[in-house]
Amino acid sequence: MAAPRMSRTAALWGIAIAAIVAGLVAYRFTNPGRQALDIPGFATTAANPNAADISFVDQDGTPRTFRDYRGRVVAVFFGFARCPDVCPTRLFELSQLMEQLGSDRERVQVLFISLDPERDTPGLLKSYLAAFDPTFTGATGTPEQMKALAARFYVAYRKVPVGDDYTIDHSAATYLIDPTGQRVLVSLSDASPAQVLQGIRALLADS
Amino acid sequence: MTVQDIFSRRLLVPTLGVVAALAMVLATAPAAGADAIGTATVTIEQAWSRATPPGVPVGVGYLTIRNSGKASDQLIAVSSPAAGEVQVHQSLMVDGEAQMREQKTLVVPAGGSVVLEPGGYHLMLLDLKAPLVAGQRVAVTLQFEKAGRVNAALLVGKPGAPAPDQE
Repeated sequence: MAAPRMSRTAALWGIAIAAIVAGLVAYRFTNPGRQALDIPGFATTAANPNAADISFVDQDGTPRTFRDYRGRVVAVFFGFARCPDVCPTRLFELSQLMEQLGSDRERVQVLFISLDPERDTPGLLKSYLAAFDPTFTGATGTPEQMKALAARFYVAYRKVPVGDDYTIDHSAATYLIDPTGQRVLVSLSDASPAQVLQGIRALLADS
Repeated sequence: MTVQDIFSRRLLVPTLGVVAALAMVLATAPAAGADAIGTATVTIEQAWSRATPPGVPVGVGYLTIRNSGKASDQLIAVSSPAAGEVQVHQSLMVDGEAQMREQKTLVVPAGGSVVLEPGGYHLMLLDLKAPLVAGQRVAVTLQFEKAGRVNAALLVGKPGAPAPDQE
């Protein structure tokens, strides 16, 4: 009588263990974890742990680091106020995205990082960005600070003379930082506004 | 020249001649308006711009140049009373990098057109005398090698607007 009872106990344990393993496997596949977010038009990278400490000033002249935006998805775009074509197009698209986000917009921060800090003072960025959306934040600072920020996102930029003036060639990617500051989505070449919205929503849902 | 001079016999005939010629030009010219301003061979359509945020003295202009002539023409200069200088630029995306280059000339093929639009060719209005305001019309004069001067008015839309405002 003892032997069959033992085997029944063993069988129950076996079933229990199998169920737990199956559950874990199912969980692993339905929740791929923080490293594998598959968003069309984006690549996921781990954030540079040092990036959180790079300092800059916002459009109000307040000293900031990326830590200040934890808890929100941060949509980062590099540009300069005197760029009349590409930058306003992107900022307009982002302002429309914010409207489509509805109440979720409170968990999203658009951050426009200036690559022309000599001209883009906090005051100028404030009125510039307010023309698109009053909740947009700008980042400016010393040329060294901007260089450090750009390097952190692997953003290449350089001044190109145009007559007596200059323009700035720059990487045009949009970056999405998750609310923990751990993960960064990088748009592959030209992510469409719909893909950027999808990326923002995915990061909001996964945090 | 006084009114009396105009009606004097010496000036009356040439003056009437000029008036008659002008009337003929006006009668045969395409309907002038925001959508079609220009000479017989080169016309400008869909001319628009974007409002500029305060403190940014640089504006943009987009339009379509149509050449109905039998020979190609080229845009050689642009000016505007609203700007110190107007240049033609092209935005390019090279390996994920946004670049902007000045175009000294822009060829408009015979029977063809060139579209200046966001992300491509555009007019760059430098040293704006005042911010461009949505709803405003900004006069520009385009100088073509063969067609000569062609005037257009850029209808200003929102900052960063992707397309012209519907009228």
